Amino acid sequence: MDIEVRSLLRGAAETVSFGRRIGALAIPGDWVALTGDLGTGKTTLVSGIVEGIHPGTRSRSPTYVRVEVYGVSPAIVHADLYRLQAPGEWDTLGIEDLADRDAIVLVEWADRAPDRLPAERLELTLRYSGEAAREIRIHARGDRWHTLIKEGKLDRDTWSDALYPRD
Amino acid sequence: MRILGIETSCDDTGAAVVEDGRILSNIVAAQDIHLEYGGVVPELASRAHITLLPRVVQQALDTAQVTVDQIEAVAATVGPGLVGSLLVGIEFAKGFALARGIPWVGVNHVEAHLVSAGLEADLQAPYVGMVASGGHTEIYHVPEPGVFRRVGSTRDDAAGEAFDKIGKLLGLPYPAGPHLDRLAREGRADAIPLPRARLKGDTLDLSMSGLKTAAKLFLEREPRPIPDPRIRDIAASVEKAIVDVLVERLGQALSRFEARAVTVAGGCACNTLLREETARLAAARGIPARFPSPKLCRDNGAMIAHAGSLAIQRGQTTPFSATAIANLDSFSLLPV
Repeated sequence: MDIEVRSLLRGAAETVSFGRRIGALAIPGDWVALTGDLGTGKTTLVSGIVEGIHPGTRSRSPTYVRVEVYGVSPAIVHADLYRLQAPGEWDTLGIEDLADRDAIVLVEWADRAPDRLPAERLELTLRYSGEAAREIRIHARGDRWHTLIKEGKLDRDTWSDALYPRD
Repeated sequence: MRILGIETSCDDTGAAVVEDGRILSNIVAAQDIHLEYGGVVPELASRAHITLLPRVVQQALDTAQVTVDQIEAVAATVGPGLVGSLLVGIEFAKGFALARGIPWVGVNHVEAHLVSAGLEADLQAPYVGMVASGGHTEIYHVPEPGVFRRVGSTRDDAAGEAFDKIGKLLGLPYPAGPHLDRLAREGRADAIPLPRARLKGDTLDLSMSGLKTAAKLFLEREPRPIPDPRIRDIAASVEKAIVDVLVERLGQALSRFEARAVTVAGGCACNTLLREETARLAAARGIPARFPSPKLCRDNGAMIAHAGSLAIQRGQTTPFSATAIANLDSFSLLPV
């Protein structure tokens, strides 16, 4: 089942807060696909998701090394397809091998290899909405994230500044 | 000691022979091999390593004018990097060492960059160093030989990534760093106001993504085509913004930790302004600044061999059961 909702992230702090919420809801085996132009905040959003899964764990852009792994139980596999020259190169990254061990997989520039991702996934698409703000489209593919959205688990009041004050 | 160093952590396939701190050969595929074989370098990085590594090693031995049985130890990168690519180098190194009955040692790629200037100049602990490249931006304190304390790192983009991504927006070829450097020499660094991220709290970490976004938004408003003098000003301003952040952190690290030298390594260490500003920082403190030559700044086998021989001198070798670690963060010894 598919469902798509939209929200506004007003600056980097809200982007991180929203990411933490996603991270708190994520379970082993989840795949999160992130898409958006340069500078829209994909890596910032990932830093929030990683914080939400393993508080205190730092992430960084894997653009060059393509895949970073953070933590255990669950391991977080953070991939970046920015430098993928052909979708077939996906097969050489070993992401499925890493994900076998009940990892949570976060893929930036996921639109560069759309057919390689599992059918059930959460898609997050970021777009500029002025200088600091970003529109985020939250597209649940499959029942689990669909249900979470229906239950209001991603509603703004669950992650906005009220819960995570700006530091 | 004559040691073979193997590097396969990312895109480049590297092999080198180093003898008592002297580089006998340092071969990096894509450049050297491509010319020699005239063949097509496979497009896929980890497969390319499999194809290229035996040739690169052979060429490293030939260039060094040594035979297989004159090699006394083998070093290979064990992380951080792409697991599939790392495994190619590690298993080759282990196979080589097992067949020859010599030790092998696993090396942290970032630490190898850090010590690389020591191949060409005196670099003795205690020192403070930065590795700035496309994949890494890390600050280390090395209080004594073999102790690598990571004291700061990027929280998002690496410095080289910022150079490349902003360079791409400017229409520069990949990798954009050298082009941006050349353009910046003739531009005014104060022409474009760009942000320098100041992270809150007591930290030596840094951030580059805000600068990237600011540059993108700025460039979207810029009338096209951008005239050449304007491009040079933009290049100079971008370079200054990146270098300011790096050098500020380096200075803070020098204030906090005992250091008798400062070193900057990795691809960005080729940048003219970063070298100048770091040299100025060091001069103000009366300590030397050490930078590897350009060939040692990029990923290469010689730095792996050097880091490996330093480890062996300290009595460290690696068990044959050890393997790749994708996220080798702040430790230099392998879990077995």
